[in-house]
Amino acid sequence: MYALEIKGFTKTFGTLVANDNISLTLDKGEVLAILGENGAGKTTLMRGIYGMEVPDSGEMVLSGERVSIRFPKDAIRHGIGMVHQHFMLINNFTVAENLVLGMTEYTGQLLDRKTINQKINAFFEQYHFDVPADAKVKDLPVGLQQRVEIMKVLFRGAQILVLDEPTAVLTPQETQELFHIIRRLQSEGKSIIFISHKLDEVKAISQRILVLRLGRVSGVVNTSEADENRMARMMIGRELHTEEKPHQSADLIRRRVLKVEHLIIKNEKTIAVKGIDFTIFSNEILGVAGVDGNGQKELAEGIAGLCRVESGSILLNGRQIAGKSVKEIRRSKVAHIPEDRRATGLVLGFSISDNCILSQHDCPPFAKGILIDKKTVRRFARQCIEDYRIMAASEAETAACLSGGNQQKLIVARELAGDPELLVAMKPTRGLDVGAVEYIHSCLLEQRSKGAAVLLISSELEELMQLSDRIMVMHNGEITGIVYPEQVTAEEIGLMMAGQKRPEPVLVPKQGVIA
Amino acid sequence: MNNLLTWATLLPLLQATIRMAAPYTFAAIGGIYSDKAGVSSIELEGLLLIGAFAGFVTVYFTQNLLLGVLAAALAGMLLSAIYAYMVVFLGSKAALIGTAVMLLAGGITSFYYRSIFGVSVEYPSIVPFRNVPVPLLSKIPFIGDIFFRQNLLVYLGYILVVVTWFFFSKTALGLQCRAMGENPFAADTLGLPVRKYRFINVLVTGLIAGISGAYLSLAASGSFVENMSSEKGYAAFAIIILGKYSPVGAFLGCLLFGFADAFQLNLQALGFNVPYQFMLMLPYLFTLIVMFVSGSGNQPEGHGKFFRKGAQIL
Amino acid sequence: MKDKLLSFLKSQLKSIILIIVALICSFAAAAVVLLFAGYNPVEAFESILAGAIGSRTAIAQSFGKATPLMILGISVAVAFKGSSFNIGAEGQFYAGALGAVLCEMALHNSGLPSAAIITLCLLSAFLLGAVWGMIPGYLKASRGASEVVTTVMLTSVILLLVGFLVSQGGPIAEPRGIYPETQEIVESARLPYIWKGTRLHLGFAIALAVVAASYFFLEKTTGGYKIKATGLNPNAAAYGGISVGMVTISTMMLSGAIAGLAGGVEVLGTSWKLYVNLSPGYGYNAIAVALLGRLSPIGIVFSALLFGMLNTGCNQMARYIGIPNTIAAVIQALVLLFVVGFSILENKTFSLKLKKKGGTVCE
Repeated sequence: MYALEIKGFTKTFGTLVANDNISLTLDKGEVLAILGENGAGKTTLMRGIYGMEVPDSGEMVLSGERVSIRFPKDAIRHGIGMVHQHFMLINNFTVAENLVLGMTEYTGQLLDRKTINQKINAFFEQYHFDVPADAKVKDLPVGLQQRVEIMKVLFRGAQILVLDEPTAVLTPQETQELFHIIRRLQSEGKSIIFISHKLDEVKAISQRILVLRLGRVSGVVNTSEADENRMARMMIGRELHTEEKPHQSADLIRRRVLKVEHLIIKNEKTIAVKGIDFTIFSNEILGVAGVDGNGQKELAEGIAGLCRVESGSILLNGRQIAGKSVKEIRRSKVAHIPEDRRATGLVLGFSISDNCILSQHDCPPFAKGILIDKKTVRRFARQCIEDYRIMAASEAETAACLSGGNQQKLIVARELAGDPELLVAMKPTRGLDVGAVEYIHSCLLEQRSKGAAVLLISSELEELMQLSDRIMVMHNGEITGIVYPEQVTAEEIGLMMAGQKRPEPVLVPKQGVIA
Repeated sequence: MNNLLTWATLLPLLQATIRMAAPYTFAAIGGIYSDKAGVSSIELEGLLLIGAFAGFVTVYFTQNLLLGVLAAALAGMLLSAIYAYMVVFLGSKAALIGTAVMLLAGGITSFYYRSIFGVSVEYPSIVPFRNVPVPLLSKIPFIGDIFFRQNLLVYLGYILVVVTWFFFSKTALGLQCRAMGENPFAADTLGLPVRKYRFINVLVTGLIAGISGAYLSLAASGSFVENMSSEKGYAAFAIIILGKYSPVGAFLGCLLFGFADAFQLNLQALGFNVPYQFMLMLPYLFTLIVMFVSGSGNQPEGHGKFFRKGAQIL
Repeated sequence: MKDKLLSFLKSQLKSIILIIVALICSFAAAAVVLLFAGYNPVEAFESILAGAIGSRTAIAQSFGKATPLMILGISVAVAFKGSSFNIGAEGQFYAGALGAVLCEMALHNSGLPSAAIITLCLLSAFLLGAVWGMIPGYLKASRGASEVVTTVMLTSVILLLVGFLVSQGGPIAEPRGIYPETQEIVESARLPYIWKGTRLHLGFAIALAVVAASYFFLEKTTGGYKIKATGLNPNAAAYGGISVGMVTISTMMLSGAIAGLAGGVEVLGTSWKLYVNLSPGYGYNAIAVALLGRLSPIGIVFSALLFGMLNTGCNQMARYIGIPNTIAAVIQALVLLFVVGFSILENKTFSLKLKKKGGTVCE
């Protein structure tokens, strides 16, 4: 008898079939990994299991009993718990309040916070988890917030835990700690569904792997028998081909494009960037690694002019750009691919052509005086669509109608159009399918060949290892090390991400002559 | 001028402060129920107006003040149901629907008022709430005179402040309501029905704000005048922000506004000679200053965020 | 090209149908309101219709009422495009009216040619309206203060200010000190009539010009681009190098200026003087006008005409059969509710389409 069995699960949105007749089984005490690239239907499947989505057809059997789960409360009642990729915690509540929220049968109508906190602390001790129950969630680091999320699920008596991309926000070490917890839960007889798009993690933690591709199950294998090439084929329909960064000759002459000195940037809450120094040279990609929220975003926005620079200097080709407006900075050939393409990168209600001139709408050739030259804009938009193979019916279509990958291509097309000297790219491949990721990577490498300096901020360590000439690691607003990717392991970078400083940062790229 | 600070001039001023603060108190406390659950309380103005009208008409025909208050509360709730439906279920912009509700209340009240009473110079009126000293408490020196020689609705206001504070900080249900305002998506994953909670909270706002309207026609004046809410609902919206979304903070804000109103009423008595239009401007200017000073801090994180479940609600 | 045109028409057809359905619903609801008060809705609507378009005079009057509504509708729509909700157009209207009157008083005996006086007065109205719109814009941009509240407060302030200025014996009241209003403006400051035998004045043409200018500004200029980008996505606008705060302030300024112009036109064309009840709530009606016109300039022309007729018709109805004319306010509020409600319906089918194409929901 399986802990969970799903038969013929199908879910469509309009004409898009997100899940097509998916069946799976989960044994008691097993870790089942669900592997698939972005857009393969993993999240839809999980939302279906948790009652956040009602499937068009299909049935669920829990410990031999057929159940209907239409709302999260049904799932909770049946002992299914979900740890969401974006934590479902209330930042302004305490840990205890988050745990008991909605559990009136446990707390009673009147909240006796003292007793509740004691009980919660006792519960935490079972799992060797020492966070005070009365701490506010917003004051906890991301790793601990995830732990609270897991505790919340356990506290509700979950026997089946669904973890949706849980490692995305963790350092390699934190990931190892998470794996310890998973193994522990496993030993207690809990069953776990572990969702990921990372092959190595899946291999490390699961017993079986179910691979999804384009909404269908493309295979189920025992982890012990899984080999990476085969998995990749099942996942993306072909061999994974990683683009090598082209070799650069030793006599390449490099300029200092961006020189950052003693840079301090504050956000609403704290000092996000604490006096850092680094340089990016022409023909170089400088990767920035770090757990989310360690100042990378502020650094990118500070350079782009979106965040006020508290003190320090940002020199672009020797000219000060700190404190300048976004407009002035962009005029000096700085391009910026923002973290969130939908929230920041595009005006979704605008047409593709209007989006193409977002940063250039009041410069020639698009503006003539106060008038916008629509003809030139349209021609430029058509050019972008063609050059970057953006799938769109016409340039008059709104950006909202494009798929995620095409939206990102549109941003890249716009940003690279002016042949930037400095490109600030913040998680440029987030949420994209493999094909789009490869394309964006090739664009970045092309900029490198053309002589641009690229600041690439990413939470995907592999991506950084593959593309960067040097990797800079940030922790808590400081640089904990700058290294050549060939000379370090992921674990070493993980240690730096966790705050361990590595002496002697490498200050110049490996090849080339500094002008 | 030198008699400005004697007890004899100060006492009426402070008593008036409490009296004038009451309509703000009901409106702001009512609004907090919406705001805490993440729905903007921009619709208060219309609720006040409809409450004032419903209360007045009921009392005019029944001579029963309590029935009037009840009618006002119900009318407020009914109107807020429209707002709640449009904002919580359809996801319309709160400011837009709030304005529509305000205009609808303005239109309906003046239409029916004119239909029932015609257009005449003389305002029909009713006997308003009288001051009832609270036994014992009213004997406390100073405090008793200021706080406990008021009408029944003022006392109801005090009770509401305490009850609301207790509800949001000490009960499980209050915590759940706040969760709707902080992170509706998290609340949803815990199996709490977000839109139902939000809807009901807005209804509660309507109920209490309706009483605020009743205060205007049944306690403050004894008659109904078109647009008599005179932007008090919008002021209450500002007060909630000023009070950082806490009932007690909002109450203090209401006292401040009550003082501004009382001060304006008493200016002449205090010997200032300013055209009355400028005195009437005070509460409005005061609101503007409050908006400038308090900005929009401490807002629940999910405030104004439309929630809908997955993609199934179409 | 032909396909594009067809699909464009099809999409427009859908909005037009939705608007008509919304109007029918509003009138049906208004009928219920009338029934409750014991009136016969059929009789009432007939009377409204007759009063609105029953004669040449009636039509001219409807157009006259539509004039301020059209300009104010554009004012509200411009603010909306920049994601500001200007419900204080009423106040900016009075600010403009005050500006026009003050300017006229200064030029009263100047003997300047008519065109010069009119231009200067309208300019003054424009500027004072801009000032009154700038304050909430500044409060919003710098402090995040809700413009809904601040514009309402500023409306009350300017109404009281005007009330004081024109009160009997007040600073700008007519010299005899009998009425709470200003002196009539000189003949040369009045807007000429443009339809023989009626009182339809040049203001109507000015309103149409404002509509055309706003279309041109929003669609063809960098300023319009900035306003729309800021309105649709302030984050993206800031990222693209647009100064969102400045755009917010200037949007509100422009919106206020246009509303002020409406006030100036009303004084120079219709009332010839300033008094407290100059506007029967035009500024509020304009919100319904703008939304019924779906914020598009051409749509606003039609919705303003419709509401002009409604207002004129309701006044006539009140005069002849004694039903309170405030039913017009009820209908307009209902229109607002239904139009917004139905537009959500429309957007829903729109977002469904998005999902089909982008499959964004699965992420």
